[in-house]
Amino acid sequence: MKNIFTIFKKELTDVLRDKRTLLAMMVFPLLLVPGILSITSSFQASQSDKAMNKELKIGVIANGNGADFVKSLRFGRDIKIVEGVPETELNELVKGDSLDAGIVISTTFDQTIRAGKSGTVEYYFSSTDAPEIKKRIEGSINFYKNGVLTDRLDSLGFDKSLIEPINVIEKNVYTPEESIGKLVGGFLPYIFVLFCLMGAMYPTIDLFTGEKERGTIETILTVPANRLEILLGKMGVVIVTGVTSGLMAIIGMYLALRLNPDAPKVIINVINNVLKPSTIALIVAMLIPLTTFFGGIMIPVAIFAKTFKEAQSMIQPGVIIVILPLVIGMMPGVELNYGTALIPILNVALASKEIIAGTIDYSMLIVVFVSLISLAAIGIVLSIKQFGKESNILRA
Amino acid sequence: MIEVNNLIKEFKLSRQQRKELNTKNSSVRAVNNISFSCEPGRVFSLLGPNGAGKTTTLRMISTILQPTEGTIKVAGHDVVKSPQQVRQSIGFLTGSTGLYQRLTVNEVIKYFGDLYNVPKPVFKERKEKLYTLLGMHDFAKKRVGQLSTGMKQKVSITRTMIHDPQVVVFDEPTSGLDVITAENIIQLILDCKKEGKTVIFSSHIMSEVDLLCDDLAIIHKGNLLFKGTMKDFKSNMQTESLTEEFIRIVKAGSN
Repeated sequence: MKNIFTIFKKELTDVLRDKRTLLAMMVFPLLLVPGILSITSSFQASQSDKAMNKELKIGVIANGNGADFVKSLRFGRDIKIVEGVPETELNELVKGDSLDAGIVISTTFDQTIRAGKSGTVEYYFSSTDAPEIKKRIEGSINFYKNGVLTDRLDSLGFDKSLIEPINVIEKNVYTPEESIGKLVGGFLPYIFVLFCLMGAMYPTIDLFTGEKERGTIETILTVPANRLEILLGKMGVVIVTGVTSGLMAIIGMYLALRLNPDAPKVIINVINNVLKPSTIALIVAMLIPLTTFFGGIMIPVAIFAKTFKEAQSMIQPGVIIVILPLVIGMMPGVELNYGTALIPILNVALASKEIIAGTIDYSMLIVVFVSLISLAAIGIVLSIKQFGKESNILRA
Repeated sequence: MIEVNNLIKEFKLSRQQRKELNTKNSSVRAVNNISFSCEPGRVFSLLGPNGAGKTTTLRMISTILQPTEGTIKVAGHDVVKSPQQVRQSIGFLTGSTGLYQRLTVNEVIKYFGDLYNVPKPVFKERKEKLYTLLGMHDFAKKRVGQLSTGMKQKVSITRTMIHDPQVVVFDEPTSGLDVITAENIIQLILDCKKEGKTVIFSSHIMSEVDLLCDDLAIIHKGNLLFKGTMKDFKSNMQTESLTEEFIRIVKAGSN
């Protein structure tokens, strides 16, 4: 035990003096995600703001019809009607952003409306524009539509309720906090599990492949610590850096939202809820066996590899494999049950979602832990086997 | 004391290695049935060209590798049955200094002192003695990565000797070092001998061997070609110089 601690202490000091590890473990998770998040959210906000407030140019080919229809379009806020556009060019003009939309009113429009039938208008829109634009124009179209409908019902002496027999009142069973909790809970594991992996990756390569590359492996194998002690000491550092990195990602997100003046109060409430010591403790408790499992897979590869570069090129594709269950975990409808609780990574993603939303079933959480701890044990056994292999020591 | 008896080491070949070596054998024998012993207070040299099996033999003595067959006893302990005791009694040093670049000299020495379970007061005293002997006080607080090769070699020496091992194993200790730096190693070997330690070192430099060793073994392609004292070797020489004699024995062994 003393040897494990001696090795752990030395390796931790060594790794913390490596700039690459520090970047991957502390700086990136703390700054990268909040950075990306705030840039994309502010960009998105400004895009949708623009779409809501800009003047919309609608090219209208009236064909001598639909004067009322065009009038109601004009009623819309900041809408400019452009007339006299040739019909053949309408498509290209909308595509090329000279116009925001195009409307072609059929030659029989007035006649059919008067006859109490459906008049036809062709509506050219661009599916790549912000959705707010389409919503605004459709709002204007619906304004006209509702007017005609009300007139028709009035002329027949009917009430509007005739065509709306059911009045649906929606009641969300989740409070806004809970629904956002589920949303954040789905997204957060994606971030911290990935950072857990990335934070553990560099130290793994540094402590195992690096020892071979720097020629210190022979020295360490001749000291009176046995190989299991050496492995466990090093593995401890891998776990600490991985878990720290995951925690940093959570803290980074918290700070980004906390310091963002535009963050709605309900989100702040959720974030405060996530940052409860008990929630954090449960998440960290899951991250420890998960990182051990990651280590258990990466360490044998790092022991096998000859150089830092070789190890990196062998381990990095693994990130994609980790992303897959995380993405599945974010999908709506994928819930924690006795099946999914056994699948590594996915179980952490789903359990975190439940923990953050405050709806975790503790018997299920035990299954998650049993699964993670068993996998971590398999990882340790794999690493021990590989660390003891002479062919790996010699492969330099 | 090191006793090596009928030592054999075979390495399994991967499919790619079989292809490269153009062989159908599933394994290759790196050390073929060699026996020798090294006495306390004497310097034993393991001599051979590159690929002779010197490093493999020394790695088996140091418990890094396990013998396929045969036995090795170091200070009375079997390398397979009691590797921990063997490790506690040896100091292992190679020419490539193999130190942790991001640690300071003091941290490196403390690390090895702890791993060898050296009691605190003893550690302090031994460290002080070695630092003074090698002139290391000036750079004791510097990180290893900032040191010159000569300084690193001194750190390696202190690291190897911090637990006062009975047996010292040197694997080509002077390879890649300039004469001045190599001199530190030569002095260390002579000091070890004076202190009654068992010293084994591998080399392919005859002048070094001539200067230091009392007993020697010549190996080539895993086979033992000569074993005896330096005196015997010199008196039975069939050529003019030690190097020529070494080449003659290796060539005769190849046929």
